Amino acid sequence: MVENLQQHDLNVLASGKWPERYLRNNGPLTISDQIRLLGSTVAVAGCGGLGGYVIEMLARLGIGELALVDPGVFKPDNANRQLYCSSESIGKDKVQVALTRIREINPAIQAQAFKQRIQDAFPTIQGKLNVVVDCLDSVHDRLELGRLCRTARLPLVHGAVNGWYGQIGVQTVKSNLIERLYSKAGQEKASPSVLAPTVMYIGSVQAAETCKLLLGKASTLHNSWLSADLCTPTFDRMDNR
Amino acid sequence: MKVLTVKLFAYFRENRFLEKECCYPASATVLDIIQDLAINPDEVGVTMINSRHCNLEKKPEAGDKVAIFPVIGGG
Repeated sequence: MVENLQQHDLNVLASGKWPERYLRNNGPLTISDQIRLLGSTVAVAGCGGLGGYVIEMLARLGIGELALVDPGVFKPDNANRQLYCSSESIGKDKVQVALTRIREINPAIQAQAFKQRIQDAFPTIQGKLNVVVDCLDSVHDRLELGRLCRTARLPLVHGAVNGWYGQIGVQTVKSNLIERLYSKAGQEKASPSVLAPTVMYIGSVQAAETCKLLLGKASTLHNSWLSADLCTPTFDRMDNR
Repeated sequence: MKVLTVKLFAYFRENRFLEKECCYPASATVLDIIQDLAINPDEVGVTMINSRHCNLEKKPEAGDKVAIFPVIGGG
């Protein structure tokens, strides 16, 4: 069913026309860009705060295949910031709720749910991935994912949030961004409070960077990162050093 | 003594400052500055001098810009 819808969209694009669901991508994206996105596979590691917004935007952009990875279930204290947390979804698997939502938004993309840690799912999915998006919530897991992506030569779109603040950067296949950000012994305060606008902002930039990686577009965030302060507000991009 | 520009990021700014010229003894390291600002070194993620990553033992020179970032790990 999904395959048929996606093939139909690809056929329309190949004939030089836009399927209606992607018509308003026309302009910022070309038809060949859209075909490329539909032929791409992205893993979203963590389907809570950042992951929810990233998944929502990747589905609307028309990324052909999404691998959703998260071992968790929605809890009441996720409600202040996690897009797919609602009174209906409390206690349900995050990956299953996200899967249902994707089918509502865009039934023409394929999605698979992996209710496990990214480290455990990675061997199964890495072969078909083009990009991994880091929406995790633990420093330890981020360091492991950074190393896995470097070994597999996969670009990783990193995002992290705390309160009014967040950071976003792209670990290209040649960079060690995650190690540079997290290799110090420092520990984050346990279970930080985070505001929805921070999560949405960082998730939006992550989705945009993912799209550009898939399209081979340059970005000032490749092998670099942006520190965002939504309180002041200030946005500082670090030099690539 | 040496005058440095210290830039703080994310929640390290709260009840402190964004950017400030500070005076320290010539021997002061990045860790000394962190402790002087009552920042817990365990919460520090990245430190930079003039936009280059550095370790906590590094001694910035007069006129340098020192940037201090907390570990941001939430998702």
